[in-house]
Order: sequence, then structure tokens, then C-alpha cells
Amino acid sequence: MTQPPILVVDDEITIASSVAELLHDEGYAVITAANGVEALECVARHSPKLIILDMKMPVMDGRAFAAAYRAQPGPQAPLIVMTAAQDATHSASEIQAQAVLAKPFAIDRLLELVHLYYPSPDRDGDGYIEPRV
Amino acid sequence: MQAHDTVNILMVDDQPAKLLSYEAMLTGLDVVLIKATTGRAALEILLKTDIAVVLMDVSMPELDGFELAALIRQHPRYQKTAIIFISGVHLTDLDRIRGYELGAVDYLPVPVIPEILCAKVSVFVELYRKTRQLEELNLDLESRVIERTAALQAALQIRDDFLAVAAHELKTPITSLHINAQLILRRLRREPDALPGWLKDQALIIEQQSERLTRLIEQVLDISRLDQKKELVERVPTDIMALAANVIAIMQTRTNRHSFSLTSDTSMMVEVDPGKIEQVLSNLLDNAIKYSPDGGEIVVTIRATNAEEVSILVRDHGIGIAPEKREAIFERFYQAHASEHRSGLGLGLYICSQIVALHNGVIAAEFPEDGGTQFVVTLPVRVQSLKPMVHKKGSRR
Repeated sequence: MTQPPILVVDDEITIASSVAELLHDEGYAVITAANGVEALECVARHSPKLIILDMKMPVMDGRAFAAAYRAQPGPQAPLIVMTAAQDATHSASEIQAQAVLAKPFAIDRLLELVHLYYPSPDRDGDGYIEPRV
Repeated sequence: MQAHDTVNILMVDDQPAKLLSYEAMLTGLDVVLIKATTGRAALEILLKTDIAVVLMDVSMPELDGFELAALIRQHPRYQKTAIIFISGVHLTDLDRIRGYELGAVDYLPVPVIPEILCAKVSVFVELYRKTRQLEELNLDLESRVIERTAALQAALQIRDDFLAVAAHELKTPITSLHINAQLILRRLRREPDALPGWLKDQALIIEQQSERLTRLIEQVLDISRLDQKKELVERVPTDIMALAANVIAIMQTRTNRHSFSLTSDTSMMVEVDPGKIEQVLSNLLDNAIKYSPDGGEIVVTIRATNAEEVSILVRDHGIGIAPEKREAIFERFYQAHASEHRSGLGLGLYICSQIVALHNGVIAAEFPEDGGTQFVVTLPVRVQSLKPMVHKKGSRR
């Protein structure tokens, strides 16, 4: 992996892998994790440039992951929350996510957000963008 | 109840001998007799003990009967306590009035006749017992109402929690289906030869039906929130024309047999909860599509009724609503087209009417001569002009 990847975190494997396939198709490197603990390992190993995060997960949920991630030193990747929960906007603002997608969502909308926070390597080169925190 | 059944009678007289004679007269009653020889002693007892009847001599040194009665009445607990004055001196009418002003209940002249004293005390004891029973019943009722209300609220909370979990669990596989249908469509767009063309229609159906499933789940959640009055509107100045255009653009993707038009005679900013009004408009447009099975034009018009109200009109040219069913269309769970198997949960228009009501607006249905249905949503432009509008019941032609 030469370019920093996008980390997709969702305990529903079909969702994680479908989103990964979509982003891969767009030219991104993608890694997936099934919960917050796995996600923290991925963060340590791969320093993702963008994180797409489910909220309700076993072992460690999205909120706990975000808290742990935000407490880490160093540059922080933007967070896009994707959730089927009712209080989507509320929980997204609580963990200072850059954007929120209510499940189910249009993949075009997901791609818009991904391009906004991680301009496509195919089109815009590989400049790291400063996350808004 | 047992412990409460004790009834205390307080007897106040500066002469102990008299107290003894009253005690002798009252021994037949099932009461506890408490004696006090001064007004001060009587007050102390009253502070510590629940007293049903006070029997007191009017003329006592230091603090006379009237003064003592006034002090007793000041205490909220003793405002209604029966007081029987015993007076050896001649009572003028003036004295009597003075006694009653203090809320005194009765007088007994000296010499005290035992039977009369017993009878008077008995009446007040009985009154006291009945009052206390009523108070206990009242308290019991109140606590039962509180208990029941709490149980009901707990049950509603369980229902709502369950619905939230169920909705989340249902949406997860729907999301998966929905993404994959979109992935197929995307692949077909990018590489038209990679997959057979017939796949497109079927993938579209999966995409649209998973969206429909999601809307149904949302409706069920909306209804539970509306029932619990948890739904709040957050009004912000909103470009209603842009909002409508946005909703129409989304609805147009769901149908290719219907065409939408949007006209407006106003560019007014309206103070509404944009998410909620979007929901109203998508419900109305959803109905317009659903009940125009042959396709056709769906017309959305935004009109400034006056400086304070704006109306959103949604007109279809579909099958309309049978006259006998028009009255009930905004009712919860009502399905005007149940027999034709076209209906959803019977919640769409109910949710619309509830959201419109939360905005202090009015929703009505009109049935034009040339067929179809026109829904008219009228909303106050500003939050300040929040006088509830008169609900126009039923339908207009």
C-alpha cells in the first residue's frame, strides 16, 4: 500500500465489504475492521487518511472507538459516521464526526463525502488534507 | 389502618377537677382522652399529637379559650379540627359569634349534661373518622394513579426501546441489500457490457423496494415518537421552494411514469422544521405516485395565502378517494384503499397531519371535479404568528 488507506469499520461484514469494494473501485486503498478494537489496531498499523465508522458494534462501539482515537496524539483523520440509529446526527456531533450518513444511504452520497475529505488519488494526487476537528 | 384508628380528644381546663368529670362522662367512648390544664400545655400536645376534638373551657387564666382557639386555627393541620367550648359564664350572642368566627364548632353551657357532651363529642369523632377514611382513600387513589402512570410509561418506554432496536436491526440488512443493488447499477453504468442488461430493472427494483422498506420502518418509529409527544419541531427560516424542488428531485428518481411540476408565486422564507416538512411533502408525493397508477402529472404549487400564511398544494390526477372515505383519511391506521391492496400502514397522512399540527398549520384534502386529489398544507410563515388555525374538517370541493 503506497497511499494511506480509508478505514471502513462495521460489524456487518456485507456492509463493510460492499463499501470497501466501492471505494476500491474508486481507486482508494481500503482496510476494514469489524469493531472498535480492530479499528484501533488498523489505525496503529496503517494510519488511515479517512475513517468510515458504524456506531453500534460489539466489543467496542463507534463512540468508544472515536473517544480512544481522538485521545491519540498526532494527525487525526476525518470521521464519517454511517449509522442506522435514530439519533444519528446527535451521536455524530458528539464524537465530532465530519459527516454522517443515515443507513441505508445512497452510495453516490457516500462517494461525495469521501471525495470531499479524501480527494480521489486518481484525480487529485495524494496530498494529505488537514482534518477539521 | 389499625394504628390510625385511635382517636384523640384533648380536654383543656384550668381546673383539674373539671377535667376529671369530663373524663368520667366520656369513658364510654372509644377514644383516648388527653388532659391539659393550661393553653400552653394544650398547644404543646397539639404539636405532637393528632387531635380529633378539642374540648376547652372558655375562661382560663393566661390564655383563654378564644385565644387558644385562634392559635390552634393558625396551624394548617388544625384548621378544621372540631372545638367544643365549655362556658360557665353567661354567653351573649356576641361571644357566640366570636367563637364561630374562629371556626368553633360547638358550645356547651355549664352545667355540662353528660349525655349532651357525649353526643356532641361522638358526632365530631364520627366526622373525624369519616374524614380520615376519605383522606386515606384519596391518598391511596393518588398513589395508585401514580403507580399506574409509571407502569404505563415504563411499558411505553419498553415499546419504544424495542422499536428503536428493531428498526436498527431491520435497517442493517436493508442497508446491505441497498448498497449491493446500487453497486450493480453502478457497474452497469460504468461497464454496460460487463453484465446483462435485464439486470438493471431488477437491481432497480431491489434498490427502490429497500428504500420503501426503510420508509415503512421510519413511519413506525415516527408514530411511536408522535404518540409519546417526543417529536419536537425546530423551526428555522427555510426556502420552501428549494425544499420542495429537492424533494421532487428525489421522488422523480422513483418513477418514470409520472412528471412533476413546481410553481410558486412567492419566495417567502418560512419558519419551519425543514426535515419534518420534507417528510410531509414526500409522504404527499409518495401518495400521489401510489394513487396515480396510470402515471400522469403531479403538480406542486406554493402560494402565499396572505402575509402570514403559505400554502403548499399537491395535486395528482389519480384515482382519488371515495366520498364516504374522505372524512377519515387523516386518522391513524386508516387505509382508504385497503381493499385494493394499495395501502401501506395507514400512517402517512396521519403523520403529515401531526407534523403540520406541530407547526400550528392545517392540512386538508380537496377533490377537484376532474378527478384526482389535491392536498393543501397551510403553514404560518413566522413562529411569532402562532395562533392556532381553525381546522377545516372534512373535505372541500
